Amino acid sequence: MRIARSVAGLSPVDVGDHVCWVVPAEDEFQRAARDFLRDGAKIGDKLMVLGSVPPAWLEVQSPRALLIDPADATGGAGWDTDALVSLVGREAEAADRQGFRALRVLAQMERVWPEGTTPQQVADRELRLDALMGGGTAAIVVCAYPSSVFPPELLEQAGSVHPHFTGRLEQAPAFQLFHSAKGHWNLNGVVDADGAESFHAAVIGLLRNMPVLRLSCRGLQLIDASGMQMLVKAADAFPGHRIMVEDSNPTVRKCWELLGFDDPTIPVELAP
Amino acid sequence: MTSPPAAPTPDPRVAAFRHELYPYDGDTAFLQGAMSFIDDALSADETVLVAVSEDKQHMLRQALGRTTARERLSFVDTGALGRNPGRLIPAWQDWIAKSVSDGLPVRGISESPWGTATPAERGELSYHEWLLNRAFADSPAWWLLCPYDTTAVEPTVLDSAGRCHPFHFLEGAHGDNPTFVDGPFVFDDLSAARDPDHVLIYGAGDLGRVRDEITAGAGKHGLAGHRLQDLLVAATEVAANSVRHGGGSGTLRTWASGDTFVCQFDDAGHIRDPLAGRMRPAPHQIGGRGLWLAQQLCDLVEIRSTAEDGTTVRLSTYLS
Repeated sequence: MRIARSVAGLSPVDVGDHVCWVVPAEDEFQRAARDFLRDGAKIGDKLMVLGSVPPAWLEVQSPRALLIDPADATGGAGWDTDALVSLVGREAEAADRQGFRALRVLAQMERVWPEGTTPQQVADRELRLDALMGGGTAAIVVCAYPSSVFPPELLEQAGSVHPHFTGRLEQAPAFQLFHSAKGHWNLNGVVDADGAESFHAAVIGLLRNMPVLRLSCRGLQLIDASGMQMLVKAADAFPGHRIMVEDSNPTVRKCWELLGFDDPTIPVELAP
Repeated sequence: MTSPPAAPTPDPRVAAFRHELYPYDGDTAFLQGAMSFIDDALSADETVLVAVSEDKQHMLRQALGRTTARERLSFVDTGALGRNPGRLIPAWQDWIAKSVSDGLPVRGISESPWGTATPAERGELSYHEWLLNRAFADSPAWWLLCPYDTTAVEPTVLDSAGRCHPFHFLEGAHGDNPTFVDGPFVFDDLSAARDPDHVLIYGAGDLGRVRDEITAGAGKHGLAGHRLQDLLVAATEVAANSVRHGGGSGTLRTWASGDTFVCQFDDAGHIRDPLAGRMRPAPHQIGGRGLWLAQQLCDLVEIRSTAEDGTTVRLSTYLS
């Protein structure tokens, strides 16, 4: 079972982890990236770097390691970010066939995302990647988002759609939405007015491809009226789609009813 | 301080809702007046809802005996609403809506628990009486009798009741109340804040800090579990209102007084609608849910708001 985690350092990581690393400074990136790749080489993982050549690459590269710079691959015009998901899936299968323990990916997201990428696009693509990771793929993916490159709202969005966060803990996401099983997603943490827009984008990202979204709220500490309204608004945007909220605590259930959302016209249902 | 200006409402003396003060002197007089009101209603094939204390319910049940019209009289359970007067208007709206949907004209008898209410609760109960005229200004016709025991209720409460009821029931006769004032409600000052355990200035992105401060303060006084969770949701709503509507920031103070844990939020906003938080939100409406949730989740919500001085929202949670 996947459990949400927010920690200051990049290690330890384990197979199945999908980490949002909000990188505070370039020197910290170089040091931690080196350790991450060295650990992987030592343990028998296949390494893949998406981005420019980090100094550590020369130390750890092996004949089967992969270095792909999405920005260069398209003449600097950015990458088809859907390719990230299929590439990870494909290379994880290859790594397995080749006898590696797992595929270990370091993605420099400023090289992956084209300029002008929106929080909604981040939510859409990262959630698809998380579905792959949570579906049993033998991989570890660290998505490195330098805080000097991305605006705060995009960093907040990125953090909210990974089960694991690394970086300064004051920047840790208030909530995390991540895959638990086919058609089932976990919602952890707190959804309030500060994070309501990110929450809306994340739920939209899931509902787009899912007629019935089952949302386990066992790890949800608090959701306020704006968060509940965003849940309803997202469901309303996809006629015929439904959200089943499961494992919610008594306060969540009470507030849901007090706000009148337990209405048959609302396509969101709280399971008893 | 007076209530915020409200949108013009129909003259309470010509509105379909008849809000009537019944000052009485002791239990015998209560029974006499209430039974007269009930008998008139039942004779006219009207339905009657009664919200009074358990001892008064007992008196009425005994007086009613086995009358055949008893099925058109209901004792409503105000105990389930808790002590917060901010929950009474939606409850009456629900009760009235149900009776009206049954096709029956409605009368009600409502006596607030003046004897057991705290001073702060008495202030909010008086404000509730004033708000009833606004809340039911456009409602289907119904008639509410509000008994006040003049031997037990404080004179200031009676004075306020006199100003809030357009009609009265005196010496067996129903008529216009000459002391009624169709104007703003005059609030008592909030009780002085104790030296706060915690003071926090908050702004955008600080809702988590607001909850952390309250959790720390509440923990010192033994407030935990679902009661604390309820308070945290209410506090989140009020603090978010400060950020969204109150100038972008606010100040939180928390303290305990007796058996009550208090969170006070001050900001530069102005709540213009005196019924804010008193009406059940529609499922698809945009916004307007924060104060409603606060009223439903806290034991008492006191709001003072003017354009000049900004807004103070005080949330009280009882510790026992």
